[in-house]
Formats: sequence, structure tokens, C-alpha cells
Amino acid sequence: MRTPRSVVFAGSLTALALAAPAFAPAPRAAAPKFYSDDPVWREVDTQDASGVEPREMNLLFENLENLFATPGDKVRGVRAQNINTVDEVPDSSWFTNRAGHRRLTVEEVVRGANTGDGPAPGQWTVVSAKSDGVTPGFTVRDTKGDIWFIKFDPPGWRGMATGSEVLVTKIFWALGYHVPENHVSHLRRENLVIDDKASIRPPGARQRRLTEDDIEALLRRADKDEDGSYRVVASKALPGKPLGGFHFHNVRSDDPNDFIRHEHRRELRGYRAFAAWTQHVDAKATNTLDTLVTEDGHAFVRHHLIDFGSTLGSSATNPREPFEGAEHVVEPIEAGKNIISFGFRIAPWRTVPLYRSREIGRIWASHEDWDPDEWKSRTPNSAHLRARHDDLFWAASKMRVFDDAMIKAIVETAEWHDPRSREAITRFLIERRDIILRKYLVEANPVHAPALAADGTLTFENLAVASGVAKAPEGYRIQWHRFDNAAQSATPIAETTVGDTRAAAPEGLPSGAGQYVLAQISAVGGPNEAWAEPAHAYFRREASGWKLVGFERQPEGEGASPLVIRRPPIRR
Amino acid sequence: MPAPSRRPQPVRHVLALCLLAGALAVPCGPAAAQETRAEEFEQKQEARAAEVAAYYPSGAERVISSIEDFALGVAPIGFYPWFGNIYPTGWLAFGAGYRNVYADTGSVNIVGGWSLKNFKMAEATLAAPELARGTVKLQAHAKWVDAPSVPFYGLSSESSPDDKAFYFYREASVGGRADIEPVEWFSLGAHVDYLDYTNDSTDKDDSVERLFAPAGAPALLVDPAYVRTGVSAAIDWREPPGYSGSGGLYRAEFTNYAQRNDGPYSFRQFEAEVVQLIPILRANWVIALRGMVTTTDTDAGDEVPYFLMPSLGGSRNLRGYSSFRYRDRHRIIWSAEYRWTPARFLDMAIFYDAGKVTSRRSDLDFDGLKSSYGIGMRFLSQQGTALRIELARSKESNLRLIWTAGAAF
Repeated sequence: MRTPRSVVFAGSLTALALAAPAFAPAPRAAAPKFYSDDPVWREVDTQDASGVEPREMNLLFENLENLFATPGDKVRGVRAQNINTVDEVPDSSWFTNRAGHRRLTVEEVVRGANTGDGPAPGQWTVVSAKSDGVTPGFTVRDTKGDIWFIKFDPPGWRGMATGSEVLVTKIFWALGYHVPENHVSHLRRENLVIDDKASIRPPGARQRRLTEDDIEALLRRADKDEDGSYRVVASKALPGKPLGGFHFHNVRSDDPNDFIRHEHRRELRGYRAFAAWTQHVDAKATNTLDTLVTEDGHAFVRHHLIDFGSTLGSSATNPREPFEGAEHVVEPIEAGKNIISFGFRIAPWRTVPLYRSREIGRIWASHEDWDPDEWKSRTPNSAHLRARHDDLFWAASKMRVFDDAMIKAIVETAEWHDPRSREAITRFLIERRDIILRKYLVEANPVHAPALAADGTLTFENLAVASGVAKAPEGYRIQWHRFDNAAQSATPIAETTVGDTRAAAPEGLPSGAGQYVLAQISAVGGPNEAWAEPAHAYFRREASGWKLVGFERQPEGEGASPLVIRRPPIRR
Repeated sequence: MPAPSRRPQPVRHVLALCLLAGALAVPCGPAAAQETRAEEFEQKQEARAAEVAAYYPSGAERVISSIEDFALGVAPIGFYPWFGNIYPTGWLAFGAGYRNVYADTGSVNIVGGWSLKNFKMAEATLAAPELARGTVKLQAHAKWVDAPSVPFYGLSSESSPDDKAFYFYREASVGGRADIEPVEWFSLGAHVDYLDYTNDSTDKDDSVERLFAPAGAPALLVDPAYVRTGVSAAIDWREPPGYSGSGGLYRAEFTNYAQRNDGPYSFRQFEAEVVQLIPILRANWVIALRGMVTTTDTDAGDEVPYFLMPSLGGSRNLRGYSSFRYRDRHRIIWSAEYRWTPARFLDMAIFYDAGKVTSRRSDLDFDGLKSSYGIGMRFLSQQGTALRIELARSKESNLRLIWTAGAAF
């Protein structure tokens, strides 16, 4: 039965009259803190993006801009803006939750993005070739009609770039990024035929038809096996229309769904920790790719990370330079200091022991003094530069899923023959992972997965302790509040201190459906002062019990929701 | 059956509240119209959709794009600006060129320039398409250089700066060369040219013929023409090739100048150079050493024209002295650099050069070397030294500024 309009209006008036005193003294938020569908785990691109056009990125401009300007939001300390209310990154056209969100088997990670076994055997038709850029490569069509990008190892470095690319692609897939399907494959010269329309534009020449001589010239820049074949990485063309890369700052101007500045996207900020882990020093816009995808008649832009050939010990065309990962390619202030030092200001990377091998290139052999905070990509990355402790904690919480056995299995996908290569890279990844976990799981309040049972028992996990990277604190302090969702204000109920990650709720917890409780959880006597800064856990009473609807590990900072704590009146 | 309400009931309440709240001056933002996070998200995307604009590169990006190939050292196609050096002592020159490709890998390049000291140059190069998988390179070229005022101080290492004179120099040449690189670190070259030199007075008080007699300046005001032939071989394992922190270069070149017009000015020249780079602590420091000797030889009764003799001074040797400061039949050069790397594309160096010119080959020893020293800053590109700025000092020069492209050695 419909409610008469006049009754609705009268009801509203009554509500307003009752609420009016509350409006006046306290700041009022424009919207409630939590909606009924919080936390959201999937963000849908609702707008038609079919009008987005391909664009070419200028690598030189990108490098110069990132080296000498500081593109992106000038305000620092801004909280990530694409996270849901429980401090996590929802699935989106940017990211798909995998590690740390659901159980991943080793087999699943080893398979990664792959949907098959690589290019179909038989003749590959070269439809274009790339002779400029960092590495030579072909675009081929296999006998099934699938398009693949073929990249090689540099002469004398069999497996270095191809193995690194395949291995690191698995890692980034498991972490949740959209990546291409990459396979170690093999090609023989006689299996390459040139498409009638294939073209090439060599440096200093015009675009022209691709010839057999071009193929030969490109293959001479590739490592050749003794049997005459070439080990390659075959990267399957991503579905959709390629649109060019995305910047790590600002938004894509022609994408109607792209309203969050990229430097404030958590998955792009947390990428910093993953890049440090895998020595992905080329984490730049030209190693990304947007594609225009149409699903169920709806067009949207999907965002990918691509080109992992310059990772681990590989610099794609050469072994990794020792400075990479320790310095940007240009650092004017440091350079000034180094000029006047006459070379006696010796950078730590100059003395770090290195492991060198033809199969994997050059990696740090020891991580005794390695600090992920000190890690640097070749050129600054706008999103990396804005990573906060909570962003890096998020990243570390993903990385902890990669146990030693999983890492070992992933390394096998590089198909390196020498067991010493596999062992060196496995050790490299394990050592860096451990250091990153020890740092980033500890530098933020490590409370994780809080839950409030129907009987009022609060449980949570200390992720740093659970990961074995920190000792348990002496105890935990929990400040309980009633939370007014509409006004975004909290009223203290009680404070309890417990020695474990389990606490009983105090008397007076609201119990009505739709009511909210805020538990501010901090550690007492923890190893890092950040542990004493409370994380905020919000629960909403529903028919089935309490539901976690909000979690803020690091609530402060620009972009964070304001919270008003209302002190109860003092009784005399 | 009643018509369904167009809005859910709670929204009506909100709207009513908004109306009244507005009257009470209570803020009530647009977000209040949302019921769910999904709606809020959609609303933000709707707002974004109203703002979308086609991507258009910024002015800075367009500028960078237009000069990218040039900045990265990629050979241009079509017309292009040119700047560089025409001939030593000519200062910086500007000009324009035109380059095009043919037969896939062949190219033709024509360039002309004019320097701040009125030196002029025109050059045309025809590069043949790649042969033998790019290991053989053939080239034909023609060049014209006009240098109205080139210094000459007399022969020997004991020449005085007070004897500085100038001569007019013009060179017109046409020829070809072939280079073979069977492997990356080894190359062989051969060339043949027809050269027509003009060596004339400057018509000024300090013109060369007013200060020097033919005995002290062989071929004074003579215009010899030559067929020049030469062969060279080099082992170059410097790493990386553009600008190097390790490895070495060992090079030898023999050139024969056979005079084609009348005159006793045929001669032969042999040059050998050794460069060794010693990296220390992952090239935190590099000790760079160079030794180079150039000698000339003639048949009995022949002489080497003074303006074609080996010389010392300038931006690549004995840097504290100006170009062509010393000339004679034979030359020896020693250089040592202490280099350090403040940044990836920046090198610094303290250098020491020593050398001398002699009239007799037997005098090529360590006695009586002229020396200079200084400090330099080198901006590097992937192709090599893009800019080299150095301050050099010698007995004749308190401080000499060198501003050039390319490595000293």
C-alpha cells in the first residue's frame, strides 16, 4: 500500500525536527559513511568507453617529465582513493583480487594468465617487426590465427630476458594485475614467413615492407641455440583494441570511467613494493597497456602491466646494471654531491656482492643491507612516490602468500637449465620478500581481519606476528564506540585491554539492526610506534550478527573520512 | 493497480529533508541522493563522462616528440637543422641538411653549415645499402670546406705563440670508403679520395706569408692536389661502445698522399693509437690512458705541406693549448684521465695531456713534452658523449674553455 504523500512529508518534517539539534553543533557529513552495499568488492565501469582512442606515449617525454617535474597531486599523504571501506582494492578494470583474497594453489599461480600452451606449432606469419626500442621483436600470427608478440634474449644471454619475463608475469598475475599470457617458446627461422602486408620502420628510415633481410638482421640481434633455434618469449595479444599505455598520474582524459587519479590508486602505489621485490626498475607508463574491451555489449578500458623483460637480473638487452634499483637515472642533487666528492662518495651499490650468470644476468647476491624504502625505479613513478604505510602493508599482505615452495615453483617457469640460476633467483626472491614483509608489515598497525561475533567477541589477527616477522605485543587496547553512520560521529562506550587477539565486548554494545559499532584497535608494547596508532574497525548489526563494513589501517591523511568523537556528558 | 513509484521511498524522504534543510542553511550535498556505494560510483563516473576530452599531447610533449629522434641520435629523414664544428678553430657552426633513404638501407645526406668565424662547409654522402648482412659498408662522399683564417705558429714544439699567423684554407674532396666489421670488436677500412687544397694568404698583416718563409712553412701558398688512399684496422672492445668504462681501443692507419699536380709534396702518414680503460670498483673510477703517435714520411726531396702536418692542441689532445698550436712532421701524445661518474649520464674527469711534435722521428721520446691539465664534465647519451665541457690549463693559457661534442679519446 502506498504511503500518502502528505504523510511522507509530515514524517520527514518530524524527522528533521528531531534531528535539527544534532545538525547545529556538530559538523555533518554530506553522505553516510557506509552504504548498505559496503564493502564493495567489485567496481563496475558504468559508462560507455567506446569513444576512447588509441594514443602513443612518448618515452623521452615521459622520462623527462618524471625525472625533472613531479607530476600528479601536489598534496602528499593522501589516502588511497580506490579502496573499499575495508581498506582493500575491489576488483575492477585495473585489478582482480587473487593473492591474499582467495586461496591460490601453486598450480594456479604457475599457470597464471595462460590459457594454453603458447603459439600453435607450425609456420608463424610475421605481420610486423620492431627494430627500434630496447629489444628486437616480431608480431606473428600462428596457425590458429592468434596474434603473438615475439621477443628474444640478447646474444650470449640465453634465457635472461625471456625467463625473467615469464617468471615475473606469473608473480604479477597472482598479485592481481592484468597481465598478458607469456610463454617460453622456440622458433626456427624456416618457420617464419612474412605476411604480404608486413612492414617495418628501422631507425632513420621510412616505414616500408618487411623483407627477409630484415628478419635476418633482427635475428642476428637475438641469442641463437646450437641447434639453430631461438628461445623466445611469446606474449599473446591482449583482448580488445590497444589504446596505448596509462600514466601513473592523473586520469586518462578520454576514459569516462577513469575518475580516480592514478597516483591515488592503491594497486599502483603498492606496485612499488612488488617492483622492488622483482627488481622491476622499468615500472613506467610505456610498460603498461590499456585495451578497449567490449563485454556483453558494454565497452570499457582494461588496464594492464606488460613487458617484464627488464626485471630480476635482466635489463632486456644486457645484464642488469649494478646501479639499477638503487638510483634513478638522473638525480641532480646527488649528482652535485658526487661531482664535488671526486668519486670518493661511494654509493653502497658499488660494493654489494653480485651474482652473475649468462642465464639470469646480474643480481644482488646479498641483501644484508637492502632496504626496500631505498629502492628506486630507473625514473620516478608518480604512484610509487605517493605510497603510504597502509598501501605498502596491503602490498606486503599479498606478498606473504608467496611461500618458499610457491616461489620455487614460479622460478621453474623460467625454464633455466642451470640449477644454480634457479637457486640464485629463488634465494633472491625469498630474501627480498622476507625483508619487505619485515618492514612493511611492521611499519603500519598490523591488525587484520577483525570480526565481531554475535555474542560480542572481537577477534582479529596480527599479520606481522602471524607472518613471523614480529613478536607479539604485550597486549591490545580496544576503544569501543557507538557509531552514528549518518553523522559520522562516534560516542565512546568503553575501553578494554587484552593480552591476546581476542576480546569480549563491553556492556552497552548496541544491538539493534542497522546500528554500528566502532572498535579502535591498537597494540600496547609493540615493536613499532605505528602499532600504537589505532586501526578503526566498523561493524554493522545485521540479522545474522555483526558484519565488518569498515576498516581503516591508517585513517589519517588527506582524503580520509572525518570522524567526530563525541564525549559523553560528565556526570557530577 | 497503482502505478509504481518512480523513486524509492527513502529518496523521497531525503528530498524532503533537503528542501527543509536548505531552508535551514544546512548543507546537503548531492551525495545524499545515493543509496549505495555502487550508485555513488556510477554518479562519479557520470560526472566524469561529462568531462571527457580526447587526449591531446601538451605543448612540451609535442616539442619533445618533434626533437626526439634528433635528441636520441636517430638519423633524420627529410630536412633537418644541423650544428657542430666545420673545422678546428672555426667555432660553433649552424646549418641545415637533407637526408633520405633509398633501397631500404641506403641513404643520401646533404648538409651545409656556416660557423661563427665565417667557416663554411658543404658535404654530400651517399651510403650504399647494407651488404653482407651489414658487415660491409660502402660510402661515397664529396666535401667542401672553406676556412678563411686558420692559425699557424711555425714548426716544432719550440714555436712561439708570438709568431701566430693565419692562412686561408680550402679543401675540396671527392671519394669513397669501405668498412668491414666481421665481428663487433674488429674493423677494417679503406678509402680513396681526390683532394684539392687551396692554401692562400688572408690579406691581413698577420697572414702566414708575412711571418714565415717557405723553409719554415713547406708548401706555403701552394695548392697541392692529391689522390689520397688509406687503410686502417681497429680492435675496439670498449664497453659500452658509446662511452666506455672498460676495455680498450687499438688502432692503426696508413695514408698515402700522392700529389697529382706539380710539386714535391707527396707523403705518407702512419698513425697508431692505444686507449686502455681501467675500471675500479664497478667503474666508480676509471683510469683512462691513451698513447698516440703520428709520423710522416716522404721520398727524397719531397716535403709535407705545413697545413697537413700532424698538430697538437685543441679539444682532443693537449687541451690547454689552442688548435694547431704545434705542428711538425711527427707527433706523440700521452693522455691520462681520472674519471668518476656522479650520475648515469654524467661523467667528470681530471685529465693530464702531454705531447710534442718533432721534425725527426727519432726525437719521439719523453723529453721536452708540452703538457696541460684540467677538469671536465661530460654529458653522455646512448650514442656517446653528447656534450663535453672542459677547463684546461697550460703554460700558455691560464684557463681554456672547451665546449664540444664527442670524447677526447
